[in-house]
Amino acid sequence: MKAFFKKSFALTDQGASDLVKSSLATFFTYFVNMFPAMLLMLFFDKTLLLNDRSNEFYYIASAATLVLVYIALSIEYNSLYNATYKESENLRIDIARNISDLPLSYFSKHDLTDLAQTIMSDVAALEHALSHAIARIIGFAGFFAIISAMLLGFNVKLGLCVISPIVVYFALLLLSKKVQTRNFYKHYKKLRQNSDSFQEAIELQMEIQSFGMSDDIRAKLYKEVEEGEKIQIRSEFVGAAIISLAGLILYLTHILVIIVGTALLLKGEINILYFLGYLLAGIKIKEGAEANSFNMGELFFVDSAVKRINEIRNAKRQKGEDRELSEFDIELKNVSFSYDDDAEVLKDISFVAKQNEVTALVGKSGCGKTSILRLVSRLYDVTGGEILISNEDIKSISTGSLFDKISIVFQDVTLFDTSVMENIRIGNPQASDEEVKKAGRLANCEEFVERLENGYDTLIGENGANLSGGERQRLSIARAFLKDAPIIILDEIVASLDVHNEKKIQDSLNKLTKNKTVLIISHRLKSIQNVDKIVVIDEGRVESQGKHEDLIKTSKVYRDLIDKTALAEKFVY
Amino acid sequence: MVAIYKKLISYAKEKQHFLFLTIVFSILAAVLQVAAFYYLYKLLENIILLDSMNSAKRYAFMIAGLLAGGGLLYCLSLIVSHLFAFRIETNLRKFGIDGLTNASFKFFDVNSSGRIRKLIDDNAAQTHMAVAHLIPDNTGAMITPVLVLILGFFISLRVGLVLVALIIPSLILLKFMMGEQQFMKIYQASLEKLSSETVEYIRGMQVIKIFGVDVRSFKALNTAIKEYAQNALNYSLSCKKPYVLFQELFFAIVAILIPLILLFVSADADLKLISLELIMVFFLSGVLFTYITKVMYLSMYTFQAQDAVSKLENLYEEMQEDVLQFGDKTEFENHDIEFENVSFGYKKDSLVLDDLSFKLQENKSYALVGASGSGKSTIAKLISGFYNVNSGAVKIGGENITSYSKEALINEISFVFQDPKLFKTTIYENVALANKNAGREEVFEAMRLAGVDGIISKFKNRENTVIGSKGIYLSGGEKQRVAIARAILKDAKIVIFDEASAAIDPDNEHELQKAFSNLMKEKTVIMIAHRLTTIRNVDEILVFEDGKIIERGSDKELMERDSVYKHFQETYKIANDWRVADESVL
Repeated sequence: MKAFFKKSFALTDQGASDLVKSSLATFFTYFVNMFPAMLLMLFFDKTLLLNDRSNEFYYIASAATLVLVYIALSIEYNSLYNATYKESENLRIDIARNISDLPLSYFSKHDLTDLAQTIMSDVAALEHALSHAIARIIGFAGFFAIISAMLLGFNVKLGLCVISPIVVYFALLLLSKKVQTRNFYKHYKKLRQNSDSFQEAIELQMEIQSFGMSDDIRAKLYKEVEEGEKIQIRSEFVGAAIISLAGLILYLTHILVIIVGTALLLKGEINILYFLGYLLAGIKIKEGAEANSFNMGELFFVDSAVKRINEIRNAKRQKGEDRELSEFDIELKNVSFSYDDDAEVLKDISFVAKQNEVTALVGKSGCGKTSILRLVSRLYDVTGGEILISNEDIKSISTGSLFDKISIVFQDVTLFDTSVMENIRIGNPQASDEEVKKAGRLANCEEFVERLENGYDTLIGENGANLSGGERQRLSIARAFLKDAPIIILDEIVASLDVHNEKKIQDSLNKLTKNKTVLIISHRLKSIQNVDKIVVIDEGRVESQGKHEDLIKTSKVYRDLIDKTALAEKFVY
Repeated sequence: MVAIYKKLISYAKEKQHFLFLTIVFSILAAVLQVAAFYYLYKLLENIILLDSMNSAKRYAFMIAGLLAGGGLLYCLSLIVSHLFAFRIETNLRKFGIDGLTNASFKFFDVNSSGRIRKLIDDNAAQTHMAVAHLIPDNTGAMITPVLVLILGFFISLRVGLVLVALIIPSLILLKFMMGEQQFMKIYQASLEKLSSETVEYIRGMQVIKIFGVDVRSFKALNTAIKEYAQNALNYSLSCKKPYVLFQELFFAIVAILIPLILLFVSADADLKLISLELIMVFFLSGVLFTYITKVMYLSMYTFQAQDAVSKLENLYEEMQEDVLQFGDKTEFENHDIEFENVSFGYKKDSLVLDDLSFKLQENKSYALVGASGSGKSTIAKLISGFYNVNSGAVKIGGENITSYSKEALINEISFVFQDPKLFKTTIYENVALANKNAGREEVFEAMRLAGVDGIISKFKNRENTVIGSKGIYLSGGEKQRVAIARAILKDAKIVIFDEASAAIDPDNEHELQKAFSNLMKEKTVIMIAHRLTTIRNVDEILVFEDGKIIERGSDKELMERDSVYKHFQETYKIANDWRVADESVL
């Protein structure tokens, strides 16, 4: 049972066992809620069948009923909400942990804000289902099984009158789920499509307005939304029809008990007490069934949330053991790579980036340079060949040990909503304030930090909203200084900066890269002329490698690039 | 409650009769249901009091028919309310689309595309959920208790009084059940905190992983999670007592009534009658419970609907803030551009341009130069009429740009953005959209002049290659070439070019330069230049600093004196000649 819960609702161990408990509590409550009806029967026994009991018996029975109902309801309430919010906590923490184990590529494939919001709403949906639906359904199922047996035991005919409509009802609900999910999927697909069109219309706002396309786009979106409505009507109505039909069947419980009951009464097969008893039971059970149909609906709905949570849990992890790396040559041996079974972007790439040397990757746009950097930093794993650091395949090294030795300075910098100081300290959480400031100085951050209201203690807003591109870039370089990792990867870091900022960063970079294994991509070919090794990539292969002086003579691709750069530099409008 | 109904109707006027149908159906459904209980009462009266089975069968079928009819009507009301809700959802989306298609650029500056989309999508969907259930349940919840009470008093004064006695405390408990305000506030606050911590955690995940420091960010998230769970639990526990009592009251009402009957009813009273009344109380209290519980959800649905609509309306309002003004002039006297005491800022309290005035002449070329944030891009955008100025006027051909029609402005100005975007359609269509009247030949000529022919020759499907399809990706430089092809096809008299900053892929840069030279011919040209070597021949260079023009002149004039421009050129040369691993810099 526990294992089943864990799987079906993406719960943690604790959550699953709490769910077992709260299901028991609701089961118990359903039973206790029958007591008043039984009390009523006992009373009728006295008033209608004239089997006399003392008044005290009824006082005690009534008091006991009141107390038991109260206790049952309290326990149910506590166990439901305690379980829910304990699980809400455990589940969220569990998901957060799982997320931190995901390969980096997972984050580049998803829109991060979307991902975060999806997780929030998925857990919230699950939370609500836990506190309202799941335990109730299970409790009701157990209760229904036992009460059915009892009702059948006392009188088969009346028992069947109460039970069979309810069984048919739930069967229909389950059936409708199949139809509904299929139709729902159609609608969902259309919604997704519409969302994409929306997104495109928003992102391409400038283009749309400056080419006067607003009216066309509006008409197109209108049409899509209208189609969406039609699909929605179609998709929901098949399901709605079945559910409505099912709802009508539920009324059969009353109808059958009354018709069959009066007939049996007439025949003298049962006495009035039986008739009333089945009537009461029928009405109570029908109420329960009805309430649980909403719960069933919620259960269906929570399915997709569970699926997404499990998807995160089951996403492929990057394996590898913790190692202490001591040498930092990076060697690529016959590396090939493709994204998601697309065509290969890298084919048979081999080269060595030596320790204490700067190695630059050069090539036309789309040649595969950036993919190589992503592989070396294990954002992705190679599909063929291997990448060695300290003569170990990086696939066998845990990402933790690997990242410990690598500093990556991206084009895009992520900052946290905290102080400048803490943002730099990310590079090395153990660093003292002095060390952080020193790193800031080395990265030429001083100049702008001093201008900030509270210096290093200034809060920089959500994702550093208050800083310019150049300032963000310098903060990220400061992190790299503080981390002082032996391997440094630089990817087009000046591409989005203006000349002044670029100049400032260049100075910092030379200090940073000293005595490290450096792997760099730069659009500005001149900037890498002096590096120890240039690897020329063309259409996913290594075209040639060597020093600038040699490559000019031997590499056609490199020479082409240099020529084009020269043309661009000399160009005057 | 009435307010939200009115508001919702206003978004689906064409289907407002659906709303009334829903209400009528659900009232009828409630009436039939209560009527069924009336016949149940008659049936039991016959059996218990009169010991008569004669009409039992007839009553049984009456009850069956009424229940079935009531159920059917309820289904109908649900169906109609869903249709109504779907239409509201659709119209709210359209409302959002309307807002989007003429929203100000300022709006897009401050809101991320993902956020805008999500706001419209989610809130439109949310209203549908709320409306579809709100209306039928609302009606049911209001009508049914009244009908039940009427039936109760009809049966006997005692039954009626007992039901009243049941309803009053249950309503009081209901009020407490909504939880205590202060807990609710704390709960909401911790939910928001949790949400923002989650976003930050996930967005920072790459950094967190690479630096191996999940401590800091995770601790914050951890605390937020724990606080949220605790506050949510506190909030639910604050509702516990009233909710448990509420349920107890309805479930165990007979356990309260039976001792009372035994205590206070005299021995010679008609116990059979009392039994009949008791059983009716039992049934009717069940009905009351169902509907009063619905009241609880009602306030939730009402709140959701209200919240969703007001979020959308706020968004719409934000979109309409500062919407652009257009006139009806379609002819341009000439294409001189003039800024007359222009002040402008993206945000309310900070000006990017303060009282700026200058003139640019027709058919000349200008380069705007300055550090990032100096205002040069802003000027380009203002000329294109993307924003309203705070004060002063932007003029073209001696007339304020607000006096021209939207189409006229669009036709006269081409803006090649720094980061142009392509539609997810073919490369050909992406160019052709710039001029609907252009023939195929013209589109190809534009592509040739912009060097797009070199790009399409890389793909198997050439100009029919669909952007964004599997593995089809254009670099920044290539996209700009497509954008230039658009501008060439459009053939506007004024051309603005925002050069991609610093370094562009070297294999593209020269192609791009050639493409733009083709575009520039016989135009008024304004370029925001980053590669400073290329602008030496433009007619005039305008140097910007903090939103002001500090220098103006030809390259020759400016280089002759100790100008800021000269300093820029020198810095550029150093930056351009910089080399990694260059010992001399250290």
